[in-house]
Amino acid sequence: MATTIIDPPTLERLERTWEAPSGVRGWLSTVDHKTIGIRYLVTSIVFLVIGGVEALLLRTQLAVGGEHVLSAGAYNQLFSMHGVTMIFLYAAPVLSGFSNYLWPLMLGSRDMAYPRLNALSYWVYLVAGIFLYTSLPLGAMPNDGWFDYVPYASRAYSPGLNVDFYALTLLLLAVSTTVGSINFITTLFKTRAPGMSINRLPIIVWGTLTASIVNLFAVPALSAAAVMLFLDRRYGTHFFDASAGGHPLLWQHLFWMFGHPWVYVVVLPAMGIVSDALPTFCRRPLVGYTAVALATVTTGILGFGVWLHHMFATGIPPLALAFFGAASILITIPSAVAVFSWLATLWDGRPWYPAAMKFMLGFIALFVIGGVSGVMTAAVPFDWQLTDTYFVVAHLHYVLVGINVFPVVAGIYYWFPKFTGRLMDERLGTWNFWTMFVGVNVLFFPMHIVGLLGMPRRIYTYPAGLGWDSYNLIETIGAFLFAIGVALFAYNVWRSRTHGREAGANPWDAPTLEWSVPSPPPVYNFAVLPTVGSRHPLWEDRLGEGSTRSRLNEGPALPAGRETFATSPLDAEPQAVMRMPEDSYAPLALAAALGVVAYGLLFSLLWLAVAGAAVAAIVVIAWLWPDAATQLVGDADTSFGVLPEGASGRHGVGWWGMVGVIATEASFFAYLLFSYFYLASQSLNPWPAEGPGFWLPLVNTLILLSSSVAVAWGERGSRTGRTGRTRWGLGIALALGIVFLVLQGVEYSREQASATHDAYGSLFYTITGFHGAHVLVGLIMLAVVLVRALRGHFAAGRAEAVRNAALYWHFVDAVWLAVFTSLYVTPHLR
Amino acid sequence: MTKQPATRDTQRAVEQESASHEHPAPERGRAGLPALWFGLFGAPVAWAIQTLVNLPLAAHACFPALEPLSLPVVGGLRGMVFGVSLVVLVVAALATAVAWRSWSRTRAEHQASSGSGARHEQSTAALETGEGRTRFMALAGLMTSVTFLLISAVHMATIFIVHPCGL
Repeated sequence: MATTIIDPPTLERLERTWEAPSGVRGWLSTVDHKTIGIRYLVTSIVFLVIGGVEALLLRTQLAVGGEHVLSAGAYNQLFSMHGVTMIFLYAAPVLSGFSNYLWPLMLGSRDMAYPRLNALSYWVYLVAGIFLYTSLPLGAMPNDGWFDYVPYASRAYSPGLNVDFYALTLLLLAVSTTVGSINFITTLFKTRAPGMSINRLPIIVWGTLTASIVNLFAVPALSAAAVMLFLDRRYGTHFFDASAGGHPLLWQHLFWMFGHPWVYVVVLPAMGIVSDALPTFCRRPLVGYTAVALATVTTGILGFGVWLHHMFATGIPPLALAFFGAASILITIPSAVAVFSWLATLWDGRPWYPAAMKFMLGFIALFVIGGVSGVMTAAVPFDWQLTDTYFVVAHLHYVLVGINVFPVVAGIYYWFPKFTGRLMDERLGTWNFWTMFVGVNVLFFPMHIVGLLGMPRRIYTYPAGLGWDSYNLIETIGAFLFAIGVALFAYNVWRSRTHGREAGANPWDAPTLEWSVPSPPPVYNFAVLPTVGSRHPLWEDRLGEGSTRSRLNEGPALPAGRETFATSPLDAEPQAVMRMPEDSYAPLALAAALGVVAYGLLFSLLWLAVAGAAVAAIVVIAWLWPDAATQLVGDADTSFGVLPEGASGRHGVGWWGMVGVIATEASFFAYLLFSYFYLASQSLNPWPAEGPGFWLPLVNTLILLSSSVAVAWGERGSRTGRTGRTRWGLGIALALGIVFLVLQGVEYSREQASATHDAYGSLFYTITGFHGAHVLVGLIMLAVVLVRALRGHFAAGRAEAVRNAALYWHFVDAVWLAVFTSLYVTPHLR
Repeated sequence: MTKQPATRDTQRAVEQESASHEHPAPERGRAGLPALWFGLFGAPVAWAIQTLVNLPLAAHACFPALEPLSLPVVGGLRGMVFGVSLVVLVVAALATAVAWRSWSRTRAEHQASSGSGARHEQSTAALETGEGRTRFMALAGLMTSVTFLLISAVHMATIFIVHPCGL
């Protein structure tokens, strides 16, 4: 390893600048991506263990026919909690853990683009997990499965708090996932090391990027469904009530529009782990980098077009099913591309087989088995035979355990030295691998057979003598064997933390940037920000690769504050020096406030929910209020020329974040409008029975459009430093927005429809109500920005907040045009 | 890692040198971003539209209310689905052609810098490397376009294989 040419005082200054405060204060306020990454990993693995214990109880109950270890009710709660825990609290968050820890190190940056948002993402995830598990002492754990189909989940058939816990947990997790995804996307496009063009990214980065973009468009479907479910159950709406114009299949559509893309969210980054780590142990680059990167993105896109294969048995006409059967079969193409790339890398490399490699090879085997059974169920007639049998349970577990758990364990063996500075025990690792690998196959392979023999899923017991007994007993033995493997893994982690062999910076002789820094990395990650010249910065000499040589130990230190480069999206050319925020309690406070809102809604304590929401709003405003550390202070003279301190417009992270928010919010409204037209198409009666008013909403439309003009006028003024014009523009827009809300209230008072009368009314008020809420949020933004304008916070070219608030306001207006056309114009076109 | 003290002048000189790194996309002038983005996402977007239009058409025509029908309630359903698919295939083919053009114009980008990959035949090197950014995007676009062209074609083929209402 070459030496770092940097003077000791600069290093000390970097240390002081990036270090979190000591003690509890630092523990609660830190925004260090490495700490947050480790927290994600530890918390998600704790949930993996909890979900695993639930699974062992289920398997104990099913070991022999007619068993009574669990009652039917307890079984229903446990299999639901097992699914919800594994899917939502383990499988995705564990991958966020890897990415949070590794991204800035792999990308050659000092932190994520939004360090505080990163902390918020974790805290909300933790709050959601705690919230869900408070259902345990109350004896009201979710009990309708992880996909929670209505009408089982409707109040009539599930009257307790069980499903309410489920719905509110999903909404909390949606917040966590969304802010985390926006953070990953912005980090990738804005904070890479100079020279790290998009063709030089590690594959795990492609995996997490794809998953994050998928999240922005998929999670709103689940949020919309969860909101509707909660309103149906608690406030008497009729979204899923067939007797009042609703439809149970609407839930299934929305759930699987989210659910299938989510499958790829929990596997693509895991596949990325293998694509990055496997070549290290083959001592050669990944064969087909471009193809694998592309396969990752293609799988993410295709994942949106296969949701109907979860609904093959719902009576949808054959041609419609055929479209989705075809897409579901062809999605194997990108998966096969990845598999063949790994095999070719093995074939052409000089592989060696430490524990991490064993887990990756095990993963490939399980991936192929799970993939093949997936293709089988993509064939519609075959799926009709298998729906709701244990064959499907076998398939999904081969996929999720094989493509998520095995790469995760492999990833921990691989990066544990980076996390802790010590290697995990290899002998224990071998035992760990074989117990898990044999266990998982003994556990899940017989499920294929017992499924083909007709055993339905989700039954708490079965009569002996149906030919299922021996298979179930074998499965239970496999489950305990697998659990022993997980226990060995946990023991290995625990022991190796303190007793493992010291690793050094790069114990595997790996090629990527994170291995260029000491293990564990210093708080500031890189003493000097690296400049990247190839895809494998640490293998350049032996490969002769790269347009130039990477500079890892020489370059700008940026010691003046918490600083890193803002770079261009494609070629990572430095555009600005970014000031990163300091540690803060705000993320924790906001997460706690959201938890209070959830408990308030759960127990119908409206005052508590409102209080939580008010605290959340105050925290957000305080969070966004500029502090000394992030004030824009001029220009910085760097080796890449004179760069502005703080970036503006598309160069800045604020713009990217706002675009992410808008993308996901727009998707939310798109799913609501889809629900409107779906139920309209299913309605046996005229939809709506009586059309809403037209002229008052038209006037309101003109008012809202005028406010957009005013905002645009003010925002343009801010670009040239005409602060008076900015103030007037914002002030006028604020007034017009308030008039809009007042007129909306007037319209409501005249409206004939009722939210609790039929599904039309439920949708009408939900869609316009959510839009009204967005107007309110936009007004608060405009008001805050106006106050800042009055206090003289902005200058020419230095008015990011104005630009972003204006962007949001235009979005709110654009959504209204879609709402107005759908709800107020189309009924009059009949 | 050991740390060596150095003067600020030395550090400054090193920084200036690092600024002279070669650009990762020297051929970017030979394939414009609109062409690269169209090559990458033209076919997937077209396929998404194909799915989102044809699904409700096919589903609603055979199951408009409470009972499934034996014949579509909409006349010329197959024709409509075929028409949509044909337009989509044309767009996907166009995206493939554009991606091919971008790829053929930039395939030599940084090829000499591909290290061991550059020792392979060009056809193999396409899989092995991708050191230039423009080249990478163009090749990726070509792969996406061909994949989604195939998927859209199979989607269209179902019209000739499956009866819309299954009877």
